[in-house]
Amino acid sequence: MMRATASLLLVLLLLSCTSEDRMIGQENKDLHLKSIPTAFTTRIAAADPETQAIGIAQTVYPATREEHAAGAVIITRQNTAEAFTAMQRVTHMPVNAPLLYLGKDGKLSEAVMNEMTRLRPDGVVQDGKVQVYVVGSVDPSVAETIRKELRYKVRELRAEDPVKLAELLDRWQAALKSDHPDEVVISALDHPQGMAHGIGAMGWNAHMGRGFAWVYKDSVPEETRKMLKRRYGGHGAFMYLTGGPEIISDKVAKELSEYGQVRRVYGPDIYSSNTVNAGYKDFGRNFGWWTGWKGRDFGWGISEAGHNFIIGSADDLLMMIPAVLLGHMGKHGPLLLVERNRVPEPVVRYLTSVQPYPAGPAETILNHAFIIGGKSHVSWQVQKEIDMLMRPQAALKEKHQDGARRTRSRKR
Amino acid sequence: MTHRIHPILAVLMALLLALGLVTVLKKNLTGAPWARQAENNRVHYHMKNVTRLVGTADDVRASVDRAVFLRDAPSRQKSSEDWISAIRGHITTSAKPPHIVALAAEGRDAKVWAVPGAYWAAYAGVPVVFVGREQLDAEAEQAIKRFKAPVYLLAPASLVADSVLRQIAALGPAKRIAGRNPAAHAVVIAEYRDYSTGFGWGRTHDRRNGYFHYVLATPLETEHSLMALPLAKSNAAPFLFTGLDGGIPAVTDRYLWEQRTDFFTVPSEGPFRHAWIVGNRTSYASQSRIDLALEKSPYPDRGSVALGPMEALFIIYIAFGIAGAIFVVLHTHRLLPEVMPAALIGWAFTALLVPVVGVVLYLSAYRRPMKQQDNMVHWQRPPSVQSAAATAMGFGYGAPLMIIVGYAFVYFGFPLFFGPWASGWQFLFGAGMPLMMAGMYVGALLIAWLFAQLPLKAMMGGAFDSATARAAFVVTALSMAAVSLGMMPMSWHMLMEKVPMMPHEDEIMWFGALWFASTAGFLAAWPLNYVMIRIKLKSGAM
Repeated sequence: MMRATASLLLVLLLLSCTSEDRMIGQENKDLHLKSIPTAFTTRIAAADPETQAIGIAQTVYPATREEHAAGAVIITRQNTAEAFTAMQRVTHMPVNAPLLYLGKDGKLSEAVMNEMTRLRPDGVVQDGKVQVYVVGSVDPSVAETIRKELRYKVRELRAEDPVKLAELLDRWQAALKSDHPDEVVISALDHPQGMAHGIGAMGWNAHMGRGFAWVYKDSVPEETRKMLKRRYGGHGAFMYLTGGPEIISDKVAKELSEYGQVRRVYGPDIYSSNTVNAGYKDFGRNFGWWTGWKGRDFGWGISEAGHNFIIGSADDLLMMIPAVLLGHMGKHGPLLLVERNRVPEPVVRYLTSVQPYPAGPAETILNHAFIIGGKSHVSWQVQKEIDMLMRPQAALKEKHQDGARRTRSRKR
Repeated sequence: MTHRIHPILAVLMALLLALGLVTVLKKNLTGAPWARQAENNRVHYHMKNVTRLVGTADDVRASVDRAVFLRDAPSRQKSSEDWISAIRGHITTSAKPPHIVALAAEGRDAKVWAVPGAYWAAYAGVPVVFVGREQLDAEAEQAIKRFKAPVYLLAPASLVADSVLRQIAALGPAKRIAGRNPAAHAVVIAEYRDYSTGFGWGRTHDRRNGYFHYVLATPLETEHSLMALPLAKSNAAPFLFTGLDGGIPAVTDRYLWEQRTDFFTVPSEGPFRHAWIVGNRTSYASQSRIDLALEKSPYPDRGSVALGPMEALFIIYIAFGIAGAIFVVLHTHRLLPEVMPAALIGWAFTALLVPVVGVVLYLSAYRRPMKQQDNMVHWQRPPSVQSAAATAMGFGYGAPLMIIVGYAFVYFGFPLFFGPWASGWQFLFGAGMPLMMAGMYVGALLIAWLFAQLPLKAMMGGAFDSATARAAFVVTALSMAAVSLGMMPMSWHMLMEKVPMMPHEDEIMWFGALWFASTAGFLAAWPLNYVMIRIKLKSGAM
């Protein structure tokens, strides 16, 4: 039956696309040539966050038909905290949206307008078929321009600050999904490394669509308390703090436990916080009703081979935030941070622990990583090292032998 | 006029449902209508499931060299090798190979047919011998004798005659494996596996746990394909052909869709599938389709375009419903002219939305003694069948109307309200699903009351006064509440819990879920109608 349907589809596909087809790569695609792949990594190169976001959107949405186009588009300023908040709550299904940035001047560039046209957002069924979400402290003229020039249906989710934005997005998401997710990621807004510690957990939210709230290092804002109180039942929320006590104080953790279970997903530095997140899994009770029950289930829990990763530099989080979209579709993997010229020790250790090994051709186990940014963000040397960490271990050995053999043959 | 209202309403309901189902079909038959626009403004050609290596064969060689051997400055020198040396150069043979691959050396298409076999040999590290159309040369014969391993001849009879196969077989075990054309040939090799000799990739539809890579190019890009041979070994990648015109041959398309992986818990659980497309000739539309085909999807519906197991069940379910409805209409028309059109419509839609069981109940309701009473024909039925008949009268209008109103909600998008008031449990008043369900009930109730129940009362001799209207409203509201009792929780369960992503109105999953929920609605309403008959609110004799 599947075969018959597929063949029928194909006949129609061929009829529909043969005459229209043309060769690819004819124009000078500078960024394509810079987007260098290795056997187990694919680099998505760009020099600035605005172009990076476009490159990511194009990786995920080929947009040749409705099911392959975006559900909606997120527009934010180039403001780390706002983009971080938006990506936590808006990206995942049923919205299914990439994030594009406004220019540094706060206006829509031509490239972004073109990309919004290309993406052909279908509109979110659960939200009156809205096609564009303008999120954060964005000037109303932006939404106006989109409505007028692209004729897209726009919803503005405007709030004065990121804390209030998180609360607003929580209310909107609850209406959208008729539910408040009990698992809530919590990051520190006023610590300079708060977001770098939390970006991996943010990726989980872009992948699974759970809750998100901000705290300060030493206090819990009123909006966050309001949000946490909404979680149903005596046990309330399951909170995951992204960072150790020097990022989110123990005082805050204790205060939060009024609203439910508090756990920390963290390591001693930003690199290990994100490797811990990649391997993190918390499951167990949530709530039950006589005959049914629903457990909590939080975290990637990747501790075995056969997975994918999104890897980029911690230097500019604006480049990395849109990239968690790569964990929403396609390769569905967690995000790891590296230095521009070095793969930090925790990342080496983690990737070695999930490194594939040889298997038969019908049960191959492989890993893959997307590398975010150009060589000025992640060097070629680092990309090579990551590729070596992705390779099946035997292939690694063979590669060395093969290299040695080739050297010998050249000498001859 | 009143006697025409029911048929008009029935035709409208049937048309709208048919339109919805036709839209589903049309959607699934679409290729890549937006390809041209989607390709413009691309800044790069990589996709989440496809890596694209563009340029000439030498460009591809440099890219693969860098990708596989991680060379800092891949050599840009032009390759001047012929295709046979190119294949030989890429294969490192082990000392005691478990089998030997034989490829055709002569003929214009020989190099195209050779590519999939070369990929296997490069991956497995087994020797390749090249054989002529009509004869086995001394070199090939010696190689076969030296390795003493089974020979797989990977070429069609048009390129290597059966006489040559017999010559090889005289030296030891030999087998020809070939497809009808190069594209099919590549798929055969990708699917074939002999565990005793270790030959073949064995990547059939049933092997759903491996993380598989593939390399694809058009048959016009053999040089590109051979330059990408190192990927066969490094990434365990078999070769597949795209079409001469840059499209996707049916056999390749079928194979790639079967290679789509599903997830049971979360999409990050693996496995994943990945394609490398080399050269410039495979179109953007094809590359995008390959990216879509290899996308991970939930088990029950297997994602867009593909046909999942639950979808297949729903299609059968709906087909039985349509057949049942047609049977009821024809049966009444031929054999039961006494049945009122209003009742026929109720039974036809019941048979549509409660497949098989609806038809059984219909037959059970009318294979009974008839009697004339007050100008109307009545059937003498036991209470349970009376209840079923009364249920069918309300359900046959209410359920399709609820589906149609629900369809409108999904088509135009749910309304959503989430002001600052929506902080506590009150948020449910602004949430999409509850609003849609309330809308389905109220919308369908108003239509059923005005265009089904009121005319029915009028036809049965009542007057159009407020008392009749009120009584009709109460009956309709109660009947539909009874149906909703089963239908609403079941549609919530199907749309929100059972499938990981709520389906859209142009997916068979949406119709299937609502169809199934309707059946649940009928079953829930049936016993409640017994009560309504006992208190003489409804009658089940028509």
